[in-house]
Amino acid sequence: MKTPTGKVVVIPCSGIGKVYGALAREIAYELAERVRPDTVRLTCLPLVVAGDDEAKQLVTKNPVIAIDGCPMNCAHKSVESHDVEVARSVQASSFYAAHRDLKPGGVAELDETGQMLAAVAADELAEIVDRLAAKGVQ
Amino acid sequence: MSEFLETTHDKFIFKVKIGLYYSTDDYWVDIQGDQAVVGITDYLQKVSGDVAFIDTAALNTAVKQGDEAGTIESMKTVFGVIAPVSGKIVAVNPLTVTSPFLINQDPFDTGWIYRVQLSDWEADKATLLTAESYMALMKEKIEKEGK
Repeated sequence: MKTPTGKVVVIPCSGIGKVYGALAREIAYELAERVRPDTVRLTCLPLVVAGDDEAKQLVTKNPVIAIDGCPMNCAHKSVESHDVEVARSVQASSFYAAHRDLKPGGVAELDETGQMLAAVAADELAEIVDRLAAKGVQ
Repeated sequence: MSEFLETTHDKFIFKVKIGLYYSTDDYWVDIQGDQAVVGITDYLQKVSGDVAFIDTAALNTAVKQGDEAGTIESMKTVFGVIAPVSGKIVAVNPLTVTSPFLINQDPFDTGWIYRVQLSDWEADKATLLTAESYMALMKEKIEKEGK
């Protein structure tokens, strides 16, 4: 059991050229900047893959939420490659499936509807962030 | 020997699976006895973008070659599933309903769409292409897309 630190690390997809990758990153920014700025810490997926000490410490000592852009699940797998269990794995596409009126567009930058979907998704993830921050993770 | 024919255009590799039949609408047909499995080609999934949802015609629906047997919504567009062969739909791939991205990830295998009990294979076959012929058609389409 990890000792609760009150922090939760969110690692989004780093994919390029795909709207769900952009959506995953925007959800992470929404969580870190608007929804739970005191709780959520972001780190860069390539840093985790490269074995950066600081990034490794973050994912080792705190619960991790991986937000993937496609079923390749690179964010999830990259964290687990360091023998770290991901506390919650989320597919960005699942939020569009739940909110079909908010079809995201754009690749380098999400369009307005995509931004709205990211905000909704981040609000929906807030409860999970709170739970993980309070309890830590096994 | 590879089970695919391949052609590279720009940064993309387009694959055509050998041994299947193809419609000019970019669907493949895998004949298995008196039934056939149907899916979209690698070319169609690439030009359509990430698939978000698929709605397939219900089980036991009779479709004729050229009929719309469902719809696929990708991040770029919505398009009909054009039946490449006639017959009765006897199975729908449950995995592509729950994980539509499989159609992008593995269009010739786990991303299959539906299985049909063939009703007029000999007539349907006359309009379908071999992998080699489809490859030539696909290259023409890619060239047009690039212009």
